[in-house]
Amino acid sequence: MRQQDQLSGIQVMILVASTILGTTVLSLPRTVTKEAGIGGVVATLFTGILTFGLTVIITLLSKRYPNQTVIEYSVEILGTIPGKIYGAIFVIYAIFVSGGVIRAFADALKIHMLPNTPLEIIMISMLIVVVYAAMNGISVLAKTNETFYPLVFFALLLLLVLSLPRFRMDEFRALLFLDLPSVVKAIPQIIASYLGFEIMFFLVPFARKPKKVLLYSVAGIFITSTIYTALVVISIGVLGLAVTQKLVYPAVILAKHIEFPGSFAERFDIFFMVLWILAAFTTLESYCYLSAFSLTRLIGLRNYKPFIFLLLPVIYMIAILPQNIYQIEMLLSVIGLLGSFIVFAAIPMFFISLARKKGERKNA
Amino acid sequence: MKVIKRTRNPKNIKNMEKNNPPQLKAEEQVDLLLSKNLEENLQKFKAFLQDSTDVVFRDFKLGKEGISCGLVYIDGLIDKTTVHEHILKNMMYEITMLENSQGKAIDKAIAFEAVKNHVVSVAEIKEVDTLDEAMNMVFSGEVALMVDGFDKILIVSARGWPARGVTEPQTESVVRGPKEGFTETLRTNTVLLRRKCKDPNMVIKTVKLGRRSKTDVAYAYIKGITSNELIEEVEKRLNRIDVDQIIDSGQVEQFIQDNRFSPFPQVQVSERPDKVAAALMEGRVAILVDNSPFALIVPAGLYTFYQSPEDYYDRWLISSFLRTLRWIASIMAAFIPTIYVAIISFHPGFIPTPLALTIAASRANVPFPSFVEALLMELTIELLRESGARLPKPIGQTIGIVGGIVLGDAAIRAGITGPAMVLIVAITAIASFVIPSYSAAIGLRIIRFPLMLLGATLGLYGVMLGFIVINIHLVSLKSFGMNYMAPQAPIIPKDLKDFTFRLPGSMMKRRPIEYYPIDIDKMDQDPRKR
Amino acid sequence: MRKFLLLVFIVPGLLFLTSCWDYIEIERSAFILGIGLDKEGDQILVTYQIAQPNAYGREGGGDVEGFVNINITAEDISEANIKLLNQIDLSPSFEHCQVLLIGEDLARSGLKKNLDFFIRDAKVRKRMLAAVVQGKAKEVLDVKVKTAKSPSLYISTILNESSRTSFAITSFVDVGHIFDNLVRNSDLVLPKIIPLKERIVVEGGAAFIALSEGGMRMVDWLSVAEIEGIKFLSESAISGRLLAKLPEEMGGNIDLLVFNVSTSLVPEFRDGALIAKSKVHLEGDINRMERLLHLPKNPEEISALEKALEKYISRRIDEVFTKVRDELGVEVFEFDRKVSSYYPKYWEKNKDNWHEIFKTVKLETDVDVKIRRVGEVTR
Repeated sequence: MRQQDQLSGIQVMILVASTILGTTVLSLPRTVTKEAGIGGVVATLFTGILTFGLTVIITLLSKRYPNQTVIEYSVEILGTIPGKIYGAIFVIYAIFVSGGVIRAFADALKIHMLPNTPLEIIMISMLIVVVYAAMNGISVLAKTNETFYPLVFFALLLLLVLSLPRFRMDEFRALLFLDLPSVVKAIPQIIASYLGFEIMFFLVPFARKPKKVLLYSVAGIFITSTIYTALVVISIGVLGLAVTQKLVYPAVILAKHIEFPGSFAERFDIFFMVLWILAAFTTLESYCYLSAFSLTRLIGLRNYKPFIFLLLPVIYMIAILPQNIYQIEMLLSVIGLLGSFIVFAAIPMFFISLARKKGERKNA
Repeated sequence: MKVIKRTRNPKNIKNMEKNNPPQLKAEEQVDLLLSKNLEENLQKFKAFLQDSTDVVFRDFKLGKEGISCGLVYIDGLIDKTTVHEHILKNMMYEITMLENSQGKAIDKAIAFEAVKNHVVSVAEIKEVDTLDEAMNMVFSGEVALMVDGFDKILIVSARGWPARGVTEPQTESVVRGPKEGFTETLRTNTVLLRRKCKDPNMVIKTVKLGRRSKTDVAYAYIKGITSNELIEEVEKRLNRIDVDQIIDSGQVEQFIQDNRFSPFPQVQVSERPDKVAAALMEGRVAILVDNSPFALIVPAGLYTFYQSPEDYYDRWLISSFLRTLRWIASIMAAFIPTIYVAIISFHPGFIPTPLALTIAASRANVPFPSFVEALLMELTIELLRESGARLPKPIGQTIGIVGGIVLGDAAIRAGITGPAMVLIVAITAIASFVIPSYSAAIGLRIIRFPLMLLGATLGLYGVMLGFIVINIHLVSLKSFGMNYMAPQAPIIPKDLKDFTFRLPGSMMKRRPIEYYPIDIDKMDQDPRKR
Repeated sequence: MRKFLLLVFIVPGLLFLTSCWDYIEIERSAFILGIGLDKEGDQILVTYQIAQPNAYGREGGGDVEGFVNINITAEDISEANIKLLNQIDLSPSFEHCQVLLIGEDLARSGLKKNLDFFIRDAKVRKRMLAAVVQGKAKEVLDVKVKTAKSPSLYISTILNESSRTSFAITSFVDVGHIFDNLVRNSDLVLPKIIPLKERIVVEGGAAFIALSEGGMRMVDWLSVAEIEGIKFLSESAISGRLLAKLPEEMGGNIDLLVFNVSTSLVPEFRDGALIAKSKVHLEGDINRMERLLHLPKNPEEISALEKALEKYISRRIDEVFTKVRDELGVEVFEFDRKVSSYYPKYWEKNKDNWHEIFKTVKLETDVDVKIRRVGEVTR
């Protein structure tokens, strides 16, 4: 790859951050506080630290095989059959995420912005754009993320800052009486929102400076976990814990209560959702690309472009599978499970790889 | 000279040869090599050129011995003074002085050398020995001088055709800064460039493009700054051009650009030598085409179309403000109509209640849906704009004002449109004029229409989809290997200083990275002074 | 490849040309500016105040009415919405709905099924304000106010702006607050609206008690003085004018322009009993004194003035608290939210008996008044 087409450090950071920030951000305060109540704040922080550690492991692991993606080196580490199984799970996971995210996105969009437009049209139109993006390769992926992520970040920042005047500290006193079990109970659901950093499995071969990738990937996670925690905190402080637990999309309601300074526009939630479309797009883009790319590598071929079209109908079918909003949540938790498996599997892989290399050196 | 045409269809060749013999019969019989006999050489010339009445053939005698000489030139292309004074006069009169001082007549054997070295007092002289080259030269404004007994031709440079003087560029006038613009003569243009940059490392090379037009195309770069890859790529693309005729740099642009289907230009065009010279200093390559006052600069990223040379001559605060204004204006020019239609038709909750009701009131008598209304008004504005460009200057201005004000007012009274829409369309039009580069502005104007369609069918979601698609396209575009959207994507923090803002000159010490220059420092280059 | 991509872009183009599903011309939308709910027998009377855009255009300005009221009787609000579709030729839009006015009789009989729509529907403006009308909501919406184009806008402006600058107006309650109170089963105060001939008066409030089966019911009106006290207790006072009665030698009736208020309400357990500690800190300027041009002569007098004011405010707060607690039996100070955050375990155990517990709560006040300036007159 030409040097200028390789990923720079900033691109790695933004890729990680924007793949994580997707559709779950809208309902994040609820998923976090549903089980854990006020402890959800702590749970979000904890999960952030957890994913931080996981990212470090994944990055270090990928750095040991700088010219291979996880599909290839998992075979090296675990052996052919387990490695291929892992790869297959990854492909299935990426496909499911694509379908789930596009469905969640279309649902949220339909309820707030386009109530009469058929769901299929929303999904198909987004899919077409995503395919166009994914066809152009990882460097275009990185560049579009670089353009869009600052806008998304800005929207979220505005959301948080403009809600501050109505922030009340009262409910946070209960943090003093926290009990750990409820916090821990909430963590599995929150991990699903934090997923996205597994893209690091694939980025090292494309990076311009593979040695420096670690710093940027953890910077990406750091940004995201800060935003997530801030969102949860402000949501509880402004809307109140009880309300946050009951709203389907607390972030949007938070936006609906904001009054534009000077009243030059009425509904901040439309402004926010319009920029959030970009967040959903960047996440989808990464996962669609990943699904086609990982499938190609799994089979052993080089050109991933035809596979995008092959996977399109599969993704679409998964997207129309859930019948109602509760089934969408079920799909998302299935995705969470798959994703957790994939990222947690990096830990043993890392240690096995360490042991192997040591062993090889001893033998050599 | 045979002009060989290649066609893909072999059947055509036979038909063509039957109907249009590719050459005149006379030419087929001409041997392209020169002979030592003057008459024969002149006949060779006449075989090709006798039909044109602006070709001048002059035979005369040289010196005491009366050596026959002949001149061929194209009337109008040459400077008559040079031909009369420095060629003919010298060869017909002054030579006798030479012969007298030498005491003998010019020896026939060395006549040619003598003419070249001692007689013709013109600075540029070349020798050629094929008819082809001689003819090319004659058509470029040189004089072909033949001496009997030699099979070489002396090409004396005597160019002097009617040309426009150096005036202020029409399309890129500035308030502050030099007011010179390129003209149609290649040499004048290269001179203007050299005046702006006297670095001996600035290299100007020439190629001839166009099989029949034989247009001189020069490309300039600064050795030691410009990356070699870029130079090679430019040469490769220029040499790939195989057409009959190149009249304007626009044609060259279309052949060397990366993506034909994109509404965005990938080559920067300028009439100003100062802009071109500055571009060369950044490590870019300039292409000058004879007969065209528009120079091409490659590679060109999106942000180059938003730069006006004034940005660097004015102070940085003003320039930053104006540049940011341009960016906002360009987004407005493409998106305002569609955002307006989308908001009032899909999300009226977004605008404050009094405004929503005022707009509803203004639309009460309009029969068309707002999307159709927007389309109609935008088309009308485009018509106005195009017609304004064709009309002669004084009428054009009036029509612009009349068209704008009266049409808009009449349209409102007739009930075809509402005042809000007229306002929106007018603001869009004004915004699109803010962009310094015509080609970039056109691109945005075109994009407006599909965006309007998207906005009218899917509301702000459609607008966003359009935004995403445009972005993907822009980001994947490359111009001669340079990322089109650099330094915004990929983010190159150090180059962002000149992107939306223009930070003080003292902060810009390096050239922009996206051209991969060899020598990166611009300021403070003396290590002893740091 | 290029041809294929072109196809990919033409096909969706054709898709989109078939129809635009959400495209509603702005002039074909009926913007509902306000909703009034009244009780009518077993059903409710819903009054929709729909904007008339012609009044907003620059030509039709003066004589055209800014609104049109449509009255529909139905079982509940959802049925009324459907019946509305039969009666106007425009498409109703709740996105600009400014106020929700509840008639006194409906408020007193309880609001349960009619609130759900406003909270659940995504297209309802969530910053819509709620208020109770003394009389019928229909009457308020019929008032032809002079300074605004419609009563809804008039009321919403008063509630939004003036509640910040006057202690007599309850702080506004929007759909979000109602939702919050319903979810936590907490009692609430809504502003009171009084329709007059060409004016609408917004003052005082109505106390609502949260029903254990969900919903809320109005208990009684609250006077202006009581609202003042409630604002201080529930931390929603921002600024305003305080009219205090002081003894003759201190200046008589004194008018304090308060620009800085900070209040806090903290629960505390003492000897097994729950105590509400209210701290009020006020800063203000003297704006008017009954004794003409009387001025405090020395720092001691200022302190005395401040102390007198403190006593006055303290007394008022006490009165309100006692009345609300004993006579009305509602807790409208958001005290339950405080208890749940300071003593979550206690709250978990006892939240279902909150009303009984509240009857035993004692109030301790600590008021601090600072007089900063005395106007333009000096000694």
